[in-house]
Amino acid sequence: MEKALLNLWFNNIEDIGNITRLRLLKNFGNVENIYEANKNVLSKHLTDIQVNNLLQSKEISKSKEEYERLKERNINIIYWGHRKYPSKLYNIYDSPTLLYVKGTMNDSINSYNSNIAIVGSRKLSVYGREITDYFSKRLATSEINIVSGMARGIDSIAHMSALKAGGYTIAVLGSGINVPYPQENTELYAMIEKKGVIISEYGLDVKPNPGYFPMRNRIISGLSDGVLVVEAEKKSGSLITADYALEQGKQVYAVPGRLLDKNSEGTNNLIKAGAYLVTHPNDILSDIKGKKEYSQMSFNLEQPEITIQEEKDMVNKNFLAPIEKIVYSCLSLEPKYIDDIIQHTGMGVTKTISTLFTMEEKGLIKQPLKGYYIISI
Amino acid sequence: MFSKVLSGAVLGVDGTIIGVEADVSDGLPSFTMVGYLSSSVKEAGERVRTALKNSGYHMPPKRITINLSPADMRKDGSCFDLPIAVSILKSMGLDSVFDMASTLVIGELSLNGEVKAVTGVLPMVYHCFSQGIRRCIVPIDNVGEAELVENMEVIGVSSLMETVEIIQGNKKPEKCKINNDSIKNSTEYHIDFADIKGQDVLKRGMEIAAAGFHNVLMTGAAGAGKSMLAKCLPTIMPTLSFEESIDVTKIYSISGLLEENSSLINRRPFRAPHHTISNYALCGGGVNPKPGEVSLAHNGVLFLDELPEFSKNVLEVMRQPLEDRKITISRVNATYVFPADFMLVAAMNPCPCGHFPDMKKCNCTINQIKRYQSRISGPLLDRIDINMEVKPIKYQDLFLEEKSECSEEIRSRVEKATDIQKLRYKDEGICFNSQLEGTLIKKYIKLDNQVESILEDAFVKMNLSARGTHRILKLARTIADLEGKERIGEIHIQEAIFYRNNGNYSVKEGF
Repeated sequence: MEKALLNLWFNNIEDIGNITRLRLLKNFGNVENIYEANKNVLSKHLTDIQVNNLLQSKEISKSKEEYERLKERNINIIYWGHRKYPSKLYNIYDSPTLLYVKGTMNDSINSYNSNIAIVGSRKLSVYGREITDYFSKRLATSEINIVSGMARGIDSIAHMSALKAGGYTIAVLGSGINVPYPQENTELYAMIEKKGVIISEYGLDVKPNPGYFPMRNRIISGLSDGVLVVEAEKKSGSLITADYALEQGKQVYAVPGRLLDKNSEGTNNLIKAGAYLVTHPNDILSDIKGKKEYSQMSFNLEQPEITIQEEKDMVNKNFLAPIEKIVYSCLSLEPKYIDDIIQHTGMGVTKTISTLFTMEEKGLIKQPLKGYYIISI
Repeated sequence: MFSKVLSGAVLGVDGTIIGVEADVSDGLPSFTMVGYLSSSVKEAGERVRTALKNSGYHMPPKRITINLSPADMRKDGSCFDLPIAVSILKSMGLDSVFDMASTLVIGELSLNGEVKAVTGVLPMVYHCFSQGIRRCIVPIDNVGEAELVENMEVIGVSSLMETVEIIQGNKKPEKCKINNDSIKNSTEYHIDFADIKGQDVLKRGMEIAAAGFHNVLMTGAAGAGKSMLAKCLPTIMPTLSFEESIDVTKIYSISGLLEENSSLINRRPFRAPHHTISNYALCGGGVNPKPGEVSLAHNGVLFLDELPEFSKNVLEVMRQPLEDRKITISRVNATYVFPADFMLVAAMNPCPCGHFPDMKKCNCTINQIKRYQSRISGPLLDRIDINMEVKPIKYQDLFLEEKSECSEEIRSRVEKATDIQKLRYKDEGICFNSQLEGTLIKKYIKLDNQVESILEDAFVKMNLSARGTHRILKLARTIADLEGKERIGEIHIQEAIFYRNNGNYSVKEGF
């Protein structure tokens, strides 16, 4: 019998959870041995109910059906011990015994490339959006794989920016493998499927459940070498990911924010507790480069680190017409309302609108919300 | 003996002539009225009989028959009381110094013989004048509107007795001319743009909207000044021309909304219906359709505050009048067309709590915000030319001493721009840039290559519809007209694109 099929059966027995499965696998070596074991042997490891459930489900017809449906939908199964099973996941407590996978499982996530998780608040601010985009793009172009949870907010931006930069991205779902959640991410789901990979512990048509999301966070951090928290409220799911990361011995990076910003309360607390404060993607790159397994990675750290502020100054100096300079100098990542810009420049409505329009065309500034402007980084 | 008097009725916004015939003949005493009458007209019989008695006329015990012709048209309303009474008296042998076959008689009677005001006098008198009738007898309170028809001899009466005396020639009709001072006064407003602090972009948007009659949507937190700005809008709009005033007054006459003693409406209407309004109240309706708010706002502003609170189908029925500038109401009996050339000004909060995008105050979830904003359909948004975010002003700006521009100054610029438009479109039968359609757009709006390429980029980037692109063009034309420029320049099209919404209002994120 096919090994994948047996694994599918093994992972769908009622009342047997992931920890128990992992214990059985470690004791029996592989899933065939479990399938062939008799009642007496099994009852040494399991309760009576569990043994009964296991024996009763042994004719496997249900799993066969499920297996066919998965095949139809191009969903692969990667089980504990499979040659493609992400090696990093063996090292965590509670390794998932089965992963449903859609898309291309790139070998790079196992070996020579580093994975970084970018997570954060669902309710994101303009600042969070821009910073996520900035980090995700630059890390992705340095051949770092971006891991996240495809949730609303920071997660979605992280995936999207990585894809836009031509990078590889891994989405770990808290719902069934074929269930994009939230629904508005259906398009993103299709894009990741093409150029990245979608992973879930949960099978076909499983609805998202509040309990599943913290569980998938252990996979997000488990797959990664470090977790970057961009924005998090005081009690945020991203902090659970950061906790898992610490438990699993991974680095936690955090982007600092203002003291009074609700969305930065969580990240600031992380920094207070000893997380690695990052202000530039290079901070993460040099930290990774320090690990011996990645010392061969090709990205170049020789070029001088330019901060966002320095970059802004450079643009101001070299690319702008005098009128544009006046406008540019009053903008930041904090959205500014057009009336305030007009007051600042004193150029009148028509001229200011025209200048803003041209600058937006050139990609120097952005309009995250109608009438509000920020610089683009 | 048979006699006939002329009266009128209103169909849609136009008047029509109704002949009132009476015949008094021998036979069993009876009083019969025929001619497809609604119950309000049937009741006229009792009123007329009592009013005649109380005015000192004796109704003979004879067979009296009244006919309102044409007989295939349903008659409604109370304006037939006076003509019925007059025609009965005439058939009883009342002498008249006028030719009653060319005199229009309108009026409602009360039981004591008093003549009361009725609705729709202006359209009736207007129509009769066009049919060659040069004299009319109307209730004294309706004289103002009837006199708007030039060269019409208007006789105002206050009681049935007075009417009879005038007809007999025993009394000279009192000449009552409308007071021209009252017309002038009515263009004064209690509010002014100078009272609004800050909000430069919004004010500029309003100026452009007023100059080209473009639709506006303001989105912003509660208390940011949206309603106040909207209410100030009439103060900067160009004054009504006489023809436009007549059109507006006709509609108000039919609806019975003319104030006492005022005749011509020369302010642009400003209608602000509450959001509980029904379809029929907004667009017009009823068995005998009456104009709705969209028609009452004809040549003026229809202000819809709290736009998402309006029921969905009420908003959707506005789509057609927004495009066609008129509304067609079909009933089994007839199809009525009401003018509805209004400027839509709408205001809404960005989210249920009203504070988005200020995330420090807004507690709404993204789904709530999306659901709230999706109550305004894409096709409706597509018809809005100027879409602006409004930010609440800061405390320090609230008490700024410096006064901003007053309405008078802005209006003078607006009127310059509208004069340019009127001159340009004098052969096309339209007045404003926003009314350009189809081939007229190609004829009057020409773009240089450079300007064209800006528009082309925007078309791709903003995913514009064909209508959206046309609306940008019209808006750019108005902006150029405000500057008095013949050629649409880059800054004009840029500003027009700035005011355009990107298809559906897209929720991104707060801050």
